[in-house]
Amino acid sequence: MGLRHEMHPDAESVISGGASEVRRDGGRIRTGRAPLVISSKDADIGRAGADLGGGVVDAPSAVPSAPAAPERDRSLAGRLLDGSATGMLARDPGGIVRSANEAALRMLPGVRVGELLPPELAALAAGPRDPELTLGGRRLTARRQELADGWLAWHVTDVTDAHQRLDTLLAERARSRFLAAASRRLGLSLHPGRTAKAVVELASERLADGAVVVLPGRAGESEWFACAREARPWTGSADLAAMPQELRDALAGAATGSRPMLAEDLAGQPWAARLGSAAAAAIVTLPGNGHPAGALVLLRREVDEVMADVVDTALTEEFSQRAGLALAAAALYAAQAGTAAVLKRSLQQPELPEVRGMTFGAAYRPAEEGLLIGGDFYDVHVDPAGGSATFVLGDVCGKGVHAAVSTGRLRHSVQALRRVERDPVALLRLLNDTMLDGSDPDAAPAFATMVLGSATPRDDGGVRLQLAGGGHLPPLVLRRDGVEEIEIGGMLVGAVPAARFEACTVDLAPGESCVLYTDGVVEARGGTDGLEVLGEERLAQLLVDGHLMPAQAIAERIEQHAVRWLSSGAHDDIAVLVVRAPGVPTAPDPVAVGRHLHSVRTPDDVAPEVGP
Amino acid sequence: MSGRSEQPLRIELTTGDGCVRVVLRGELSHHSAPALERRVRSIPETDGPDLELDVSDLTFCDSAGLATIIGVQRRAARRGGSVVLRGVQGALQRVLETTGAGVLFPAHPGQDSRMA
Repeated sequence: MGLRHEMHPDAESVISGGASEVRRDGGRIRTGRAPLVISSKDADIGRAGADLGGGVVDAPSAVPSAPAAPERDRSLAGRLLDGSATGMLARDPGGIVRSANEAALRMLPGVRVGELLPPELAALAAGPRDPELTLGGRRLTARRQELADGWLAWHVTDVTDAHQRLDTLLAERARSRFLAAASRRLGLSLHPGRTAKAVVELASERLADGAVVVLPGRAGESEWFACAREARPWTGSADLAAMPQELRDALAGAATGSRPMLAEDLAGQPWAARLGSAAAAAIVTLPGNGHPAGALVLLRREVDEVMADVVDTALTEEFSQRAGLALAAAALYAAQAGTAAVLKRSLQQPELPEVRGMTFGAAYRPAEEGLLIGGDFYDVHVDPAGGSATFVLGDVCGKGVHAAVSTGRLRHSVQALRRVERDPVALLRLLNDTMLDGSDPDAAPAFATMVLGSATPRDDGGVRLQLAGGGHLPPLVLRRDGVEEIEIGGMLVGAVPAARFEACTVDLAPGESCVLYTDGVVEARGGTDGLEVLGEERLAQLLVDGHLMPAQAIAERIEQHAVRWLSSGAHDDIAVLVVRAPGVPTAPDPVAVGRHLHSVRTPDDVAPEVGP
Repeated sequence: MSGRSEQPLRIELTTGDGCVRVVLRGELSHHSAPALERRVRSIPETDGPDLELDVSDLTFCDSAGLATIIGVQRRAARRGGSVVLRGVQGALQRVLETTGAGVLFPAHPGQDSRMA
């Protein structure tokens, strides 16, 4: 199509359309829907503009049967304008198109030079300066510009492709955002049920009107989680055999990726009633660790043009990868957590037994709180004959899981060996040999310090203790009149063959207690500079009125004080075991009032005996 | 960690005369003990099995620290060597006394590191 242009007064060929004829009538153009053609005798634009006002305009007497292709404007300006990708269009005050380059004619069907602007374009003379419009399936922007003498020009740009690119970009961004949000949300939980709920919620938000996750079955039963858009998920379990073949294939790993399936095949499923009827469905395998982590069913209430459009395939694939990984991780974690819980129960500190004639109290705080097991340990065993108890408190050197495993072995050894050996020193020797036998020469050495004792009620309401020392911190005895430190001696257990162990006998009067503790208590670091250890002195000070307290209260006071003393969260294991002779202490010996018995040995009460 | 953190453990290794000398400065605790273990394990076999641990500037030692020192002693003993502790004092001395582990370490000439 050639350019019709009347901007140049000298262009004699401008108004040469043979079939063109416009009649003017008082500035008004009377016209029907038929295109108007300008009468083009006057080439001078100034004149033309002036003439328009009073020129003769009339309705065309005859509509040309077929408008002949206008001739091209051969002027330089015409060529230049034709070469521009931007459509350029000029209109005179009468609404007649006076100039349109090739791009404008292509983009604006119905526009002809010398004719009135079509109404939808004529309306652009008012309103926004830079509007967007859709014409013939293309998106255009038309920037209006006022010219001299009431003329208007538009610069028209086809922005369809730019819009398409932008739409694609936005869609891609929305996808990425969704996937990122999905990853974040799926990573929040390591609980299989909560993860599956997140999967169906996310899928029903973005991928479908409703979503169902079916987890791999156990013993023919499969757990499922369903969610409708903007609803809360719900769950149940169903017989795997009653599920459609496609679902069983997906769960068995026989099919991968996403596939459409017949919505009717899912009508009988337990989630169907609440999820409502579906017109289309697709099933997606959620890839897991070697085998599928589950199957995702996507449901649409209305069918799109084709079944393949049930899902946004690329997005669904990406989502299913993430969902599958999250479900697999949650399942793996649940299995490991189950194993760990069973092991942990066997390693955790025991409930203290009831023993006639004495009371026990204990406190325990492992260094690795997440694990709740550590290298410190205590145990109290009632002797099979009844009437007495064996107790032990110790510290396996080391930390964390390895220490906990060694501790478990040691505790079980004590439990078994005390049945064949009652003497605490002999028991320590047996333990020493057991630990040396079992130690792996290449592994970190497993040895322990401990105090192992037996407690027997006395006729006077007191308790007699036999304490054997295995290189552990000296126990404290809380007397009526102060705190006494019992130096037993002995060597650490499991480090040296034929180690030397020692024992002593301590009698507790009613109300008196014996406190065993680990170095986590006295080496708790805090104070004003954050580095000072709690120390034996402060611990003894803390317990001067201990004879008035029940065994459990003493243990808890020590633990709480040590924890308060700590300047930082990190600490060693802390364990405390208290054995107490029940009853109210009698009035203190007047001579002993005010005497602070710290590190004082009472020969009457303590009779050290050196083990052979 | 709030408050002041503990002093780091500085480990200095020197070899010569068929004996590896390890100088420990600072605190040997369950935090720093693994570092000592790694350093000692990295000593090449050709340097001989004997070790001398200079602990005169050791300001703290807990049960995990002792465990590591005993582990070092065991490893040396398996290879036919021994570990001598030099300058035992303070926290380590207390720990060795409490646990009776001093018997594992022969006294250094001119210095009594044997604890009973």
